[in-house]
Amino acid sequence: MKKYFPYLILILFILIGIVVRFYKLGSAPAGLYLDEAGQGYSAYSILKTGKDEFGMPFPVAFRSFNDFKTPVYIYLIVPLIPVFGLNAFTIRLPSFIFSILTLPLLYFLIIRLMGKSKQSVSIALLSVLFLAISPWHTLFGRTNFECNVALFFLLFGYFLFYKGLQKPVWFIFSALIFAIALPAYHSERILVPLIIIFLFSNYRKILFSKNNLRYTLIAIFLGGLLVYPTFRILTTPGFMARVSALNIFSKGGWTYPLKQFFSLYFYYLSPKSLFFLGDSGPRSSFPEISVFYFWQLPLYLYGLWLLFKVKYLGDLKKFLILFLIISPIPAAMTSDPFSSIRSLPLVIPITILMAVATDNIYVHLKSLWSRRLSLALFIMIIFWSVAKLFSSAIILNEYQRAQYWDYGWQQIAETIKTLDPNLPIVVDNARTGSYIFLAVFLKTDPTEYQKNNFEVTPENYYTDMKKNDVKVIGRIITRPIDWKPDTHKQQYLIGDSLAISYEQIEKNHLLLIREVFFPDGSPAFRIVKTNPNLTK
Amino acid sequence: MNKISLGVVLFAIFLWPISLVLTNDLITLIPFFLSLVIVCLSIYLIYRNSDTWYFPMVLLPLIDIHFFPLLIFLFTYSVFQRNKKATLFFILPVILIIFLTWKNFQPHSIFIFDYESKQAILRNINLYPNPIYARVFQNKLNIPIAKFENNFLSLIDPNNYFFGSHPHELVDNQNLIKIPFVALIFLMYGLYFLKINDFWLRTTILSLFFVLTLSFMDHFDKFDLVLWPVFTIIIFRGYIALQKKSKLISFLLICSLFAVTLIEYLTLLK
Repeated sequence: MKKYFPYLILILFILIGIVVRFYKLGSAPAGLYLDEAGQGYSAYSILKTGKDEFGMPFPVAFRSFNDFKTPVYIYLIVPLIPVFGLNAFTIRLPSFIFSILTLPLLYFLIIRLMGKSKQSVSIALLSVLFLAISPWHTLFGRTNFECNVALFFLLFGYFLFYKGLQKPVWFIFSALIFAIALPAYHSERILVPLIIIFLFSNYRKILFSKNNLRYTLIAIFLGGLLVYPTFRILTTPGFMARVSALNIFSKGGWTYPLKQFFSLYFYYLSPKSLFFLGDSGPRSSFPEISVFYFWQLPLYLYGLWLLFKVKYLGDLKKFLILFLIISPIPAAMTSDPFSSIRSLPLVIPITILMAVATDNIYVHLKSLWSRRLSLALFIMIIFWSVAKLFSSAIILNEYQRAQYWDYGWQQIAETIKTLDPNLPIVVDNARTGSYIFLAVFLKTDPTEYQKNNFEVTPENYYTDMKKNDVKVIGRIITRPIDWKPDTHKQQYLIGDSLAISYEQIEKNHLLLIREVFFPDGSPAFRIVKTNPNLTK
Repeated sequence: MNKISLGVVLFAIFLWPISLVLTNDLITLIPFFLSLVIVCLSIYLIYRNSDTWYFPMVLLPLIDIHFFPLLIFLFTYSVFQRNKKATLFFILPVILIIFLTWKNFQPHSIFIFDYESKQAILRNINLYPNPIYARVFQNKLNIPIAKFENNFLSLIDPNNYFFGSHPHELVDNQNLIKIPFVALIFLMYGLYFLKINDFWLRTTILSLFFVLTLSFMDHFDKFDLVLWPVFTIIIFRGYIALQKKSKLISFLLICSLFAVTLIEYLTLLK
């Protein structure tokens, strides 16, 4: 029984992680953000036609609104659609699954790096618990963000490499997993090569020893083969779109960008950003909570001190230093003050550092009563943290951030189904790519969509960046409303509260069919019917 | 070579007070520099292993009321240390100051009345399923706590000193670059090689008291100058340790420190 006790605790902590991430998955955050809808429909299109909505068969980077999306997440949605349907739940499900899989992976990674001992088990379990209730990791486990899936593959590749040090056949699997991690998210395009350089320089003698050379070469070959399609499009405008748009070094000069890079880099490790401000983006944060809990601040500082002072961490020390140094690099190259999406791998070393600190504090408590008291206090803090997370992620986020999650389009789609089928519908797209929401929620046939909305040939898919803003979905056309001609024809007009104001309704004698409200009561969208007889 | 590199470190270290002089009216800076002199005196007394090192601190709230919480920390510390002389020395001014100056201190502190935050809490309370749950996470105590957290974390944020609080510049703060960012390497190296002895223990406690005191202020702009001596000592410690470790790295760092410092001075003069 004693042998299995750590596994029982591990299962309990994973269950906490599941509850925190699965509760209202798909409905909280309410709505489905533009990028989520885009990825969902690309997956749906691949499933139905083998091509994305632009007609490109099995792309290695998915053409999207203003940039190209990474492919791994989209391909992970594809097999889930026949089971769960095309909806917010399915689109967010891969994030949830890989977020949960990261928990046991972290446990086994720490054990492998430290070697099995009472201390490594306790550090591994504490790390899993901290990650299970982490606001940072939970946010990306509940929503469609590729960074979470990429993080799993990054850690898995690292874990398999260390497994390979004992049984070299695992080097091959490690290479394959790293090859999946590389295109899984933009940050990993920088992190994976840096990690591989680190592993090669540290273990070159083992990798190129007589017994292992065969496996190393196979691993390099197969990994290279899997990455080859990504390399082929490396210099295309499509692949570079994101890099050139965000990179602080692409704007010219060196002195200022270099100073800015360092200021951003250190900001990612600063307690202020980690424990108080967090990410200011309304979708990449929860209200009133940072990426870590404030009570974890002393653990972080103590953990940092322990990292350089204690000797029992083994290979975990190398892992922690490596990840602490490299994780902020991709994010610090962009001008956003603190991007929790781009710097997600940083959650792992910081979580482990806090676990190391907690374990060290507990070990130093000598008397039984002080241990019991601190354990009781710790359990209370964990309960408080889960309640705080629920307060931020479910209660406040729903109320304050619904508009940023493009809330309301599902209601619009449901209303469209009830409207007079003989009348055309104009949906305003001045502020958002409204067509993609309708395509998802109306489950538009991708074949028909591809036929009516040609944008680019497959040959120019990665190179031609021109966009077609007007989209046709059956009788629906998405374009900016043009008041004069549009009100002289009998049809439905759909737009947000800015596009169709009460003044416009009164002035143009429009009939208000439905108004959709955000959870805070402010108007989100309006559906109106024109009245050409009165307008004329 | 040593004299030149020492000069470069001094050139970099003095950026903080000089930048204040260059960007402010000199008369307004008198209280801040007076406070700095008192802190330097205290650190000197710590260095001389004198038990009276916190006596000069009692003058700080007289220079500026913002330093009032410092007395409470020092008083608590003296009680904890069973230092009867200090306890008796502090107890009277503390009691007197608490009663006499609270009204003056409150409008300049984190306890200032904040109508907007109060309204936000009232709005949020209605969203919770039960009142107890709402009260735990939405209460008026959260307002000063959040302000305290913000100040405290800004004060231990390296970006506040090395990058002018960039990328999250502070409101109502000059956001000056206080120390050229290359010196951050010396600082980290100095921290790593700190030996735990009576001097560092007391200096750390003193720094912590200052950080806590400044965290109670509504805006700690310019007041954080009291931390300058501690930064100076650690950076010098790091510089000496690094010079012993590698002459080449030390030389390269001194060169880049000079270049970056020069740019910072030129930016200030512009």
